Amino acid sequence: MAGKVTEMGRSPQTEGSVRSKSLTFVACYEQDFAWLYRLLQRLGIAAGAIEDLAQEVFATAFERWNDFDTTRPVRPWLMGIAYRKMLDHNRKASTTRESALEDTREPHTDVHPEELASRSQGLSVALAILESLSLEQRAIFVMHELEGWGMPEVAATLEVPLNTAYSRLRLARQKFNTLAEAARGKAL
Amino acid sequence: MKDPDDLLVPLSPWSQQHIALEQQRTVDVSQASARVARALEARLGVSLTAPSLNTSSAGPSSLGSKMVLAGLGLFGAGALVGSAVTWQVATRAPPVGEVRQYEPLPVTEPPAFAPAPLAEPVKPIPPTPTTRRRVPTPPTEDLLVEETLMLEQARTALLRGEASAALSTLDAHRRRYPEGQMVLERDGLAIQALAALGRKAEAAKALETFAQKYPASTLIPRLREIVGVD
Repeated sequence: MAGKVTEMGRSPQTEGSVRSKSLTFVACYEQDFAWLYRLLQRLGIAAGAIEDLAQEVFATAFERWNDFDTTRPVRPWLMGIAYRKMLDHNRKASTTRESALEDTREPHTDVHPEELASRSQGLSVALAILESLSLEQRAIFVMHELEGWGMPEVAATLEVPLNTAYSRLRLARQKFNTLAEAARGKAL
Repeated sequence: MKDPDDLLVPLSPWSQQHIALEQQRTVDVSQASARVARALEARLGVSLTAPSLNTSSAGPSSLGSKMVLAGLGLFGAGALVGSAVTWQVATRAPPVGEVRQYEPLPVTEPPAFAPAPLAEPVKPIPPTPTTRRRVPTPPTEDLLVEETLMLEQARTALLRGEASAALSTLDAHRRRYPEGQMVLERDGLAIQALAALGRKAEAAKALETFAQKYPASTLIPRLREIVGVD
């Protein structure tokens, strides 16, 4: 499958390196898009914003592909990219809230704000509960409890000390337990 | 021991159940994948529509994975309910392009829980257990998912104000899982459904039985409130 590769013009790569890079990237896209999509749902991204953020994540992954050690698992790396984009966006949104709100009316100009996110897309109880957690706690909970990643890997991906990661996991679990119980009572 | 934190704050069984359900939830991404691929192609100048990825306008994409949305819809009124529910087998990393599903056990009565506005009748599933696909999960866990799914249907019906539909589903659950793992939840929902239908005497009687059966349940005060008894 010789991918049609056009000149990128942004880096001095030879055509050959661009091609091999793009082919590997294609495989990554094919294998991990569905996974990333669901991950972003779990992280609380609104339904209408998931595709834009997924695009941002893969665009960044493409740009950094040569720096990535492809012998390592790619998903934690993609998760790290997505997480930092969400954090950056939240930071921007908290300083310039009005412009952040305006951004959302132009779907293709920016990553959509997590805080304007789904607010329960009605997909599962777990998603609804996750939305009540802070982004920091939610990310750790999703990676460890839903993806099944070890805590050292989670901490490394999020670039926080292991103790911090454990502390957040503990708080996230407490809150998840409480809300799961509340959801049970509420529905009854 | 998975990690030290497991010793400190374990996830409750109920939390674990929700996590298991979320892990089994699948989503159809074929359209989204094609759209993002086109955007990335334009932006990066890289071809993502290589033969293996080529998503033609008609028919299923070769990204394949006609994943089936299996929403639970506890909080969303419009979610799920009424359509035949299928589940992808729980995997930590769902393989794209290969979606195995299993159908719920045959429902013998009409799907009273199907909401009218959605108007999509549940297809009766023929009682042919041999055609049910195998899922590599322990049977009890398997059953628990099925039980939970039925109760979620009842719960959603209740939240939509369709108490009689909820009651039908709960009756079906009672017949299918007389000794089920979620009997407490079922009985609690049934009491609420009866109360919502104005069948107060029956609700009160059921609540009395409930309180005798589960004297320690934290649901009792709330159910008393709903039924309107002390």
